[in-house]
Amino acid sequence: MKLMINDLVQDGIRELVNIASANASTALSEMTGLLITVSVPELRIVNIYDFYAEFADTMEDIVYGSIVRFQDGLEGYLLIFMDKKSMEEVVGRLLELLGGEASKELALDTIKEVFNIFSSSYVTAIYNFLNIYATHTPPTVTEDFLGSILNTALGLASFNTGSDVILTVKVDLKIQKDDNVLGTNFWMLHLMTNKDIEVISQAIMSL
Amino acid sequence: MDLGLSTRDKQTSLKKFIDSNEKYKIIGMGDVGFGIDNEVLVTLALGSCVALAIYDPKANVAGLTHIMQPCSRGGGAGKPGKYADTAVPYMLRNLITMGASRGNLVAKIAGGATMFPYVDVSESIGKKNVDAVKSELKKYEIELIAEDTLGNVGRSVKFYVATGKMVIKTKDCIYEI
Repeated sequence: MKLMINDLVQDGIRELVNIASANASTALSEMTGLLITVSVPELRIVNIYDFYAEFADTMEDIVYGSIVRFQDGLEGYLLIFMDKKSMEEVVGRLLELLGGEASKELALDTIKEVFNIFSSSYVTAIYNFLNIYATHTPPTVTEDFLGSILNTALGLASFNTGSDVILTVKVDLKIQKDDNVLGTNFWMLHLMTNKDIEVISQAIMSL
Repeated sequence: MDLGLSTRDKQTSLKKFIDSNEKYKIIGMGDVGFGIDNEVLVTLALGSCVALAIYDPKANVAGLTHIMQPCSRGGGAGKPGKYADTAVPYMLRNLITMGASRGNLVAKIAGGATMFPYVDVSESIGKKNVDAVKSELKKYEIELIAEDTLGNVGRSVKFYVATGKMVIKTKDCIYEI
């Protein structure tokens, strides 16, 4: 199965993800008071094996990961990865603001909420911009090898679409504190299928 | 703030699980690798995927694959190790060519985790992978002698051809089966 996508639609998707990721990082930034910067979205049509192999050196890095599956109007996945250092800073800020004591259970709930804030803001921005109806699963959060999280998501996307070729849009995020960048592994990945591209293309064309 | 949420304080890297003094081969997602004698076959960061090792302990030959999905649905194009129903016959053919004796072959498996319980299809794809691998092993009459499967943790696997030892690493510990 080939993914067909012209330059105009590629630009449209890049802009869409740019807006959505900026919304998401702003939401998290406003809640925590941290400066979070967002890279220009990198859009690629990739073979899942080649894409996975690019992470060979960081495959066993232990990160926090979250996944959301789009449903109804769209069918792709949104993955968010956050390294421990970045997560500790974000959770620490939130717990301070809430005046909560740092118990393990509260910290775990807060981690889930961090991903919930980010992914909900992202998907809401997508739906609003495109003026389409779609739903999504609540974010599932895990702490594990980056490679295990990524290959499961790639495997799911491949299983559900019957294709080893997928459109990826990657955005790198950085948390800045006192002129320093915390952590090296905070990024999001939107996996899109042919159906997603079709829906988004039609919505973009009708704007 | 140190949340102390993980029992591992250090990041784990490729280099730490693999000993540079070992003759290792890394098998990627959907790939199949083979080894002889004192070689070590490695596949990293399994999630829902299953690592399958089939080996002949007398001939000292082995294969390791990183299976992603249960069934090729008659297709089967692409990497030989992607599906359980293409990986097992592919490994069997190659191991026999390498000098393995059919009657001596045994298997070990690891992986098949449910990493995302709310996102996965109605039944975990990890479990589907495990069930499919077991079904194929049964079909080809290869005895499964050890497994570390399911659950919800990622695993990296090293398989020692000379001894048949399978070493599994998770984010919290390392152990053998």
